[in-house]
Amino acid sequence: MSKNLWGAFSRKLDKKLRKWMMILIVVLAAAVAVLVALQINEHRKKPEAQVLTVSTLTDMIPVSDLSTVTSTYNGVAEVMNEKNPDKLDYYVAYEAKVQAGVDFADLQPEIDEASKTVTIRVPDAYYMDADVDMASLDFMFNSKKANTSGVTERAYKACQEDANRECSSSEAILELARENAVNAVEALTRPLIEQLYPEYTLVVE
Amino acid sequence: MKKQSVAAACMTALLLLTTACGKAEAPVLPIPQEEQMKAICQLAVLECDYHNLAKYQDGQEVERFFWMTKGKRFWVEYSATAVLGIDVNQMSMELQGDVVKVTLPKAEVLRCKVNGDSLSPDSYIVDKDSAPVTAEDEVRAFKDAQNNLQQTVEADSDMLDLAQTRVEELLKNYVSSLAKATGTEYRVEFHYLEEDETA
Repeated sequence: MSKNLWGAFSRKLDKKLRKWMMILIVVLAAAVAVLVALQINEHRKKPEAQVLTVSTLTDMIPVSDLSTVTSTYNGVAEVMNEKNPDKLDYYVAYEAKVQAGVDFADLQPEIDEASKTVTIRVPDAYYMDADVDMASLDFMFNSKKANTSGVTERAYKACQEDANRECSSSEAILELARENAVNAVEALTRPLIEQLYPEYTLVVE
Repeated sequence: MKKQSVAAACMTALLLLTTACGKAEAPVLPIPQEEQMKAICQLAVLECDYHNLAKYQDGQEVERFFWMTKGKRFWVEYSATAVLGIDVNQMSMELQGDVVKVTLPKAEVLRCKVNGDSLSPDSYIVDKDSAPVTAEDEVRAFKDAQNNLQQTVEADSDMLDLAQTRVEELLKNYVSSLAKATGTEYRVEFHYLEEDETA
């Protein structure tokens, strides 16, 4: 008797419970689905938070021609007499393309997390090369005897030496090469930092 | 009843799901911006030292000695700074899908200036057969050099090409770095304004 009663009660309870359980499961499933959808949207909205590291900064600055600057150097070389080195044979004017630059591999990026400041130090520029244009040679002879068939070869050599000497010590060339490198580094990094890491301030020096 | 409640719950879930996805705000991934590109163009200017030589030869002003005449011939070495780049105001950018269309004017000489302190007595080289060179000649030669400098730099196609390449390289680098950081891909197309369009 009690067994039958218990069986009927349990069937009734079971039916009600199953109904509620079903509703609960469906509601829970719907809630989970909503949460997942919201999560996906949130993920799509925000770019993945990236950490700014020295390596990220280094990647922004590729080693390229941007590190070098070409200048035009129109100079004049003096060519002395071979037998009498105190006597001037002629002046020779020339045009050379001079290259100076900064080695981007030597850049020193630093990140100060406390002040949220990125500092990139650009090293000094160095003289690389001067290329004299042979076709640009123009002579002013002091001794007519020096105007012989082999004069161009000797003059070219003198021009190359003069260009190397003058340009390697030219502060103007080196200073401008460094200034150009600073501008290039800033152009390579500032827009990216402003867009991807707006919380940081960039200093290029 | 059971079927109805299950169906209702499913519909609610579906509605919520589609609403959540459908009304999603547009992704705010950083994209190439014209403003940033203009800033890059401003920094991309090529400042170069221009060591120049003004060659002065005047056959009209002559010194006469009996039947012989002498013209004036001398060279002046001076140094100048030239700034080459593009006119930022004429640069524009349009993003069409994954194509970044950049319209640029040709590189030009933005400014140039003779460094007055680069002149010294050693800057003048006078031909030994020249008539004597006076202070007026030297001043005139310097003025000519100043006036001709702009033309000299404008005629230097190598330097102008370098300035153009520098701008393009920096812009391309900006787009590719941005694409790399955001996991997207862009193709950069450069279009050039013709001279009549830049006027």
